[in-house]
Amino acid sequence: MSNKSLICAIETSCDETAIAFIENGNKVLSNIVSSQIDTHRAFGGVMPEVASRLHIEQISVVLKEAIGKSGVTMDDVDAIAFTQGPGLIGSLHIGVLASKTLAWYFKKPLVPVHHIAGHIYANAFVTEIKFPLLALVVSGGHTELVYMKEDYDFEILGTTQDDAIGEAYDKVARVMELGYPGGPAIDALAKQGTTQYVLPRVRTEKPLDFSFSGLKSAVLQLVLKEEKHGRELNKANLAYTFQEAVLDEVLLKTKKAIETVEVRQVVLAGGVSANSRLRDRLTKMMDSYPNIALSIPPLWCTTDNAAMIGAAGAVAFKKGIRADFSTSANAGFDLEV
Amino acid sequence: MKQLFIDTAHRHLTVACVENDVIVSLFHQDAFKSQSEKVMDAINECFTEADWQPRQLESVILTQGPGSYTGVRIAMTVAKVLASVAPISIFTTTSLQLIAGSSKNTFVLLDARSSRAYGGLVNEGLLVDDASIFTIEQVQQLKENHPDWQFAGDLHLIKETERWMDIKDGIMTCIRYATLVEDIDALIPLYLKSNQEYQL
Ligand SMILES: [Zn+2]
Repeated sequence: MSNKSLICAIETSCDETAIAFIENGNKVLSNIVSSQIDTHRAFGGVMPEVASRLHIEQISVVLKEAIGKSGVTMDDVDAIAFTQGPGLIGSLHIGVLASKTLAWYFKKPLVPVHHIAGHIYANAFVTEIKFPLLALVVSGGHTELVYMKEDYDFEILGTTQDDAIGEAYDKVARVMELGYPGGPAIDALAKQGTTQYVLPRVRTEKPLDFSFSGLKSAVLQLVLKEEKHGRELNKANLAYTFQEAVLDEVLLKTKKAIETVEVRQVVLAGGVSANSRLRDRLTKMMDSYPNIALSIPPLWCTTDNAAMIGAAGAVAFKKGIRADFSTSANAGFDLEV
Repeated sequence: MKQLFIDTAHRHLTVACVENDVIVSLFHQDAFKSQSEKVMDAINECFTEADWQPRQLESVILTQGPGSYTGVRIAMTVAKVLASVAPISIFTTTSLQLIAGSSKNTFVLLDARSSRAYGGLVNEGLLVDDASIFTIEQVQQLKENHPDWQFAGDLHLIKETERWMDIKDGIMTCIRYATLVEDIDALIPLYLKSNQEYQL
């Protein structure tokens, strides 16, 4: 089957309005992302209604820019791929409606894409994807170990029982008064820290699941205890301890998964994969598995964007996955079909 | 001139193809919380019935609000996308004018939740004052003070039977008084509640 395809992809699941044009599943013709981070920073987190408002403000600007930079026209496009979910319902609606409008006007097929599939296939921009594959998906909304025996076949081996990893970083950063988003702030501060504090180990019922809420409350209790005793909190040391504890949890489960299923490639995906310490520690861990390839995507395709939806959309398009005009945003969209 | 009218601001979904002041096809249905699923099929059906091709479309007239936030964004997304990719001009009007149509001194109220209503007085197709938010008591007061006005819309808010006027008259009135959008990128819904209300 020919791999040739030209996909117009739209992603609006959270706080980025993003549109991209992707050729043959791995060539970026244009990739426009309008981030709302500055607005949400003022609110100390993503406000769903505010996010929806910003999407509708941005959609026409982003669309025109994406088409303009792509060097192609909408008539050249083979399909419109869009993030159907999961995500914030009001935000998803804008992208779904924009996609349906384009599909109707230009008479193009509609290809629904799961946001996580997008994060995983973002790796197609930097490496040849090999199966069976294990993806460690870490972001503000997700913490998942996804197993793929073959192309576009997803099995969730483990997921978080409470907060997503990025959420845990944000909450802890709030307790430590480090601002929003919390991930980069803690990652940077942890570089100057060392072991001083002790946080409890995480326990989960299923061996490959994650849990971060215990760590988060432990940090809060520690901060309160230090305050009560009139001791000055060493923020760098706490950032270090928290980050190591979170990554211990993530890497332990990844290692367990590798030893449970047959894997040829491990890919890192999602916004938290920008975390420098995670990149270092995962790379080191994978050194002991010389037969398993590791893909760590460049920063530009780890945070939410539409290029990744185009990469996954190209595969879904080839597989014949389609949506019709009655399709809608699905905030709780399931990756496993 | 081939014109598409869309209203998704309230619980109805209204789509119409209009040419030379004639409604060629019309979709008007109660579509509470399902406008997003239904709007594209409704547009498609209207075009089929009118025997139009999407690319023949020259302008879109939409209600900018007030109404449900999710709702007002539906028609607006369709319009903003179309205007971004094709030579289609966009015109806006309000949901209040759609409901009042060309009737005289009609006060339209729409459920804004939390015992409040979006409302405004429309006279012969024109808003007398800007749409704003009223408490139920304020609406009742207005009703007492203005026996010459008629009331339309979500009248259950003031314990009366809902009242909807002729939708075709509403559509044609909207088209007559709609304003051309000069900068499609700057177009936003008429929310009447600010971002700040969402700050925790
Ligand atoms: Zn994401």
